[in-house]
Amino acid sequence: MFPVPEYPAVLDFFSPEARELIRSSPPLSSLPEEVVRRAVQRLRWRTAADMSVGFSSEEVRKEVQSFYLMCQALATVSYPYSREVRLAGEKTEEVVRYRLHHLFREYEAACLEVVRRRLRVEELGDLRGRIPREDLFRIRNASLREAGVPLEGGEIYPQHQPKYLLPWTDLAPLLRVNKLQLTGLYLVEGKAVVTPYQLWNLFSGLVGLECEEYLASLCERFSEREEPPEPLVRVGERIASLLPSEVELRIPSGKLRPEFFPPCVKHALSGVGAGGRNYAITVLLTSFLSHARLPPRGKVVTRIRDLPEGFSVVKEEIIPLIFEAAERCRPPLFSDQPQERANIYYHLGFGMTTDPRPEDSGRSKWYRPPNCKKISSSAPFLCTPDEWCRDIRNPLTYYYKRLRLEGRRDGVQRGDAGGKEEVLPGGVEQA
Amino acid sequence: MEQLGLYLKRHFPFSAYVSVALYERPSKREGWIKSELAFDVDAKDLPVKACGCGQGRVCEGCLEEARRVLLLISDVLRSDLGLRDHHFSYSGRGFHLRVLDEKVMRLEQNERAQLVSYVTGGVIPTDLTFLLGYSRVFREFCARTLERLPGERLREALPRLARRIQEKKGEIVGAIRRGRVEEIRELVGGNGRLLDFLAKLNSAWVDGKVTVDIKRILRLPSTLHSGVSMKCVYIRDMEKFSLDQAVPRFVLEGKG
Repeated sequence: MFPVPEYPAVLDFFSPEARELIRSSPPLSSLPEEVVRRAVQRLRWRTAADMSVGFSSEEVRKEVQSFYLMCQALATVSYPYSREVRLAGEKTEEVVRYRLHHLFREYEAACLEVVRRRLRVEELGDLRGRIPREDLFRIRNASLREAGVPLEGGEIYPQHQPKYLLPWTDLAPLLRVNKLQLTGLYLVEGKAVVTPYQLWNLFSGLVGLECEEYLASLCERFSEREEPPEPLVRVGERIASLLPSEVELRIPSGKLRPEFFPPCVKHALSGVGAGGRNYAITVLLTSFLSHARLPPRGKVVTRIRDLPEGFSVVKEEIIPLIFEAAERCRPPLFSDQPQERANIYYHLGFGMTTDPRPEDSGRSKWYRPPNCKKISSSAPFLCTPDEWCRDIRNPLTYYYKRLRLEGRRDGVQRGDAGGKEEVLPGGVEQA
Repeated sequence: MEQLGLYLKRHFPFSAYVSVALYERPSKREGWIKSELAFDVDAKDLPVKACGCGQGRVCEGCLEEARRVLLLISDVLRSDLGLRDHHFSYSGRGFHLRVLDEKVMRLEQNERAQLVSYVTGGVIPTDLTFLLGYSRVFREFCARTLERLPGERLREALPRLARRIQEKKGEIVGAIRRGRVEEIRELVGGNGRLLDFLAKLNSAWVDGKVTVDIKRILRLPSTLHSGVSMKCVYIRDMEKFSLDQAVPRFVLEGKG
């Protein structure tokens, strides 16, 4: 047991203890400056002093509050899978890993109790005798390599000795996003043999991943409302201003990947009938294509001209796609509504014009894609959800998610397709 | 089942399939709940064929090879991944393995793609020398692939190394089986290009698209594969499977 019963909350921010602490806290937007400062600084933590939390209820409470404040504030100025979201996930992972490392020797049983809520960990026990000795040495060496410890000479710490077993299926969330490779695990009878060091990494990886998912859901929730609470936005802007300036995004900009577009966007691209044209082309397609091709850098980007090559991308790539889709409508959109050309530029933030200049960017609002709920109520004919639409609340998130999961995957190697492949209605293929 | 039988008799469809997916509303294929884990080894698409058949052609040797590969995969799924409840069928041109273990039924596409890489040895391991685990799978598949690899394919893929590999094939296969990294390097050279090439071929032993697709439909056992006039049959004992079990009665009577 930890000296403070709620201490598991600082090892797993999504544990019942952490949730209970947040439930009994005042609104996050009204927390004292000390907690706000901690929330703002979290992503810049480097040292043990930053990451340590003493065994006091007060410290635990402040730590959990600052974590949730950081998440909510960041979500007001960020996008799902943005650089900020990724950094928050990675930092959370690092913090949890550090704490487990720090506490494990003295509080192994208590730490394992927290870990076991996510991973069904058991001691190696009898199986140790059935694993070749050489392999146990190799698992140890792999753990040392992961930790960056030289294999030659020096004392080998117990955290690098194979000690635990856990079902590989418990690691599915990490496998799903390729944060872990199944072929990198040593598997026996459905269980991975790991060292304590590897166990800390796996557990902290799961917490970091849940942090990213939580942030993504918050981003979507805030984008449903026009204005997130002002105090949260201010904290979010403070966090974003402290982040490193280099641009390295998980959301790949560059060529659009129409194969990953959500069904509603594919439908709009293929042209729609009278009655739905304005919504499909001007509202949905314009906002979706511009944001998908020019992913915002997470901080509040409100103008296309703030993005490198934003204007030329709009003129040369996005507008042609939108106008071609407008032509495919029945009847073609501009044949009876020529003013919609200007309206499209208006939705891209250039004001009502048919010949925008870079300096016009910012004259009107650059609209974000509407949420799924809005699409299904305003244009139900566009909404034909597929399997990926589960848990998605915005078409852009659908695209980012598929890009992240499918675009990053090394395509499964296939044999030469000798026969003809038939595709049944609904995209079902047969073997 | 009775209803299905009556329906098939009444409508005698050209082909009949069954989905790997379970849905809340199956008639509309809506409300995905979970999916079987399916592996498809198609005898016409084997990445290497010791029998000399060309791509798209199938002989009894190809089918026997497909059967053995699927048994090997089934073994890895049991021993390493701890998965039970395996069901085999002969599809008419190859074999299907459907795993109904609850542990994997809810896995999504990426995890299934990783399973394909694992069970076929489709990725070079970080450490080739582990006696068990993934390294063993990789070595076994590499050795199998190289043993059956025709010289012509080697010359196309690795023109500079092909002759050397061909001459020392037996030794190289032995070194791969034993996980002797240095020995492989000395025998082959080429900075691991042979292992890269073999890993790519390995992953083509199964049709990865089938495994990854959580809505795939597979030919229904007990129905006829009209393209080859063979029955798709459920196999109770894969070790003892004989093609005779898949010959339809009308073909036997025709011969008689």
